[in-house]
Amino acid sequence: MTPPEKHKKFENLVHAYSGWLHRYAYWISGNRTIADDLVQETYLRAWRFLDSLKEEAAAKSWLTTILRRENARRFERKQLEYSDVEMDSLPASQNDFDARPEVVALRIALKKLPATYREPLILQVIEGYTLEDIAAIMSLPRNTVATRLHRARQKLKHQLENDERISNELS
Amino acid sequence: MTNGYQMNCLETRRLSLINPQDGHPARLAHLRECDTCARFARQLVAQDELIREATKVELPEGFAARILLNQSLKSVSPRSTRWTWLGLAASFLLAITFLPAVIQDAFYSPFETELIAHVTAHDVLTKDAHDHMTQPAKIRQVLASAGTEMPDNAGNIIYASTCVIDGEVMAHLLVENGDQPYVVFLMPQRSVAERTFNRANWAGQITKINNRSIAVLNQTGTGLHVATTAFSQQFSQPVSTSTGRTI
Repeated sequence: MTPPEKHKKFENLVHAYSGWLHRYAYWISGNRTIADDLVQETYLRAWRFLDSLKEEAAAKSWLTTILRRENARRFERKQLEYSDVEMDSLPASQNDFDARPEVVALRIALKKLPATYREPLILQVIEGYTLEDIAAIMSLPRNTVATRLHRARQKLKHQLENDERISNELS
Repeated sequence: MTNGYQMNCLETRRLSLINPQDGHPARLAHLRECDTCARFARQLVAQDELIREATKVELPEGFAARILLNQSLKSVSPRSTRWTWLGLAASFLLAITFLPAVIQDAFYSPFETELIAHVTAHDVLTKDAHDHMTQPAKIRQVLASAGTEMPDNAGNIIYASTCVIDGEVMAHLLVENGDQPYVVFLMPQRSVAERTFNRANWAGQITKINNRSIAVLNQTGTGLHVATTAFSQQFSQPVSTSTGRTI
């Protein structure tokens, strides 16, 4: 690959996937600034190893896996550089989000969901990854992914039903 | 085809929770016959739809341009000595073999060729420039990506884009100044030897400012110096980028 080809390929990857990576980074890190940094680090690493990406079709999963590893590295050094940020305590600009009550309730429920359940759910629902894809990205057995997705939806459903019941009782 | 296998409610709900879009024939057959499980599956499909809405996060302004800039800042990788020497040896042999051509090409730097090819590809001066008008917010964002701000006396910037040319991220601007439209490239990471050039119906002036460069081009060759001066004054000021880096 010639340098101009490499630059063009890289630019295409940035334009095609930075939106998805930023969204994924936010939902696994719980913090916008960290999400920004994770995506930047992901693309720097991707640039270094771009020659190893042979199939364009695999690019999104490849980048997602890199981002996941960058996030894991963050935890290795977090005692020094990061403090744990609870997703619930994150300020959210009203302009950024859909403010319908059911969407807000779901967002709160998602933030309460353990990260181990939230992550495969995001991968499946937002990007339509299959169980096999998610298993590969998360380095988990397929059945473990299935169990986590099952529990994630079950917990969300219970949480939302519970919220609705309380809301009905109050009104 | 269910092959005679009949899925019960428990298994149907288990599969629905794993993936409400699961296309297992026995699950779909069960959903057609069991209203309770069908309602359960519909609720999960609706819940997934809400998840898609609830997880939307606004992308920071100029995010892609920042990534490209960051990459250009950090991707200067040291080559191994062996490859450097091999490259030098190959260059030397090529120079001797093609010396006459090299001398002729020295007047037409490939970098200038890249700039002119890029401008021609954009076609901003030959068509109605106002078809390409860029919003002021985008212009400020492009200038910020190049580590600078809007100059006071450089004319009216009507088009701005962050482009990669010859492997470098740079701001590409089209400026209207009376009847003298010109193109400006702000190169925050490239130090190019100062020179003027005139080829392929384009006249240009390249100016170096510390480790940065500015190229100004138009098709008349007049007013280049004035435009260069206006942008140089602003571009020579160090400005903090959105990533917090001073360049």
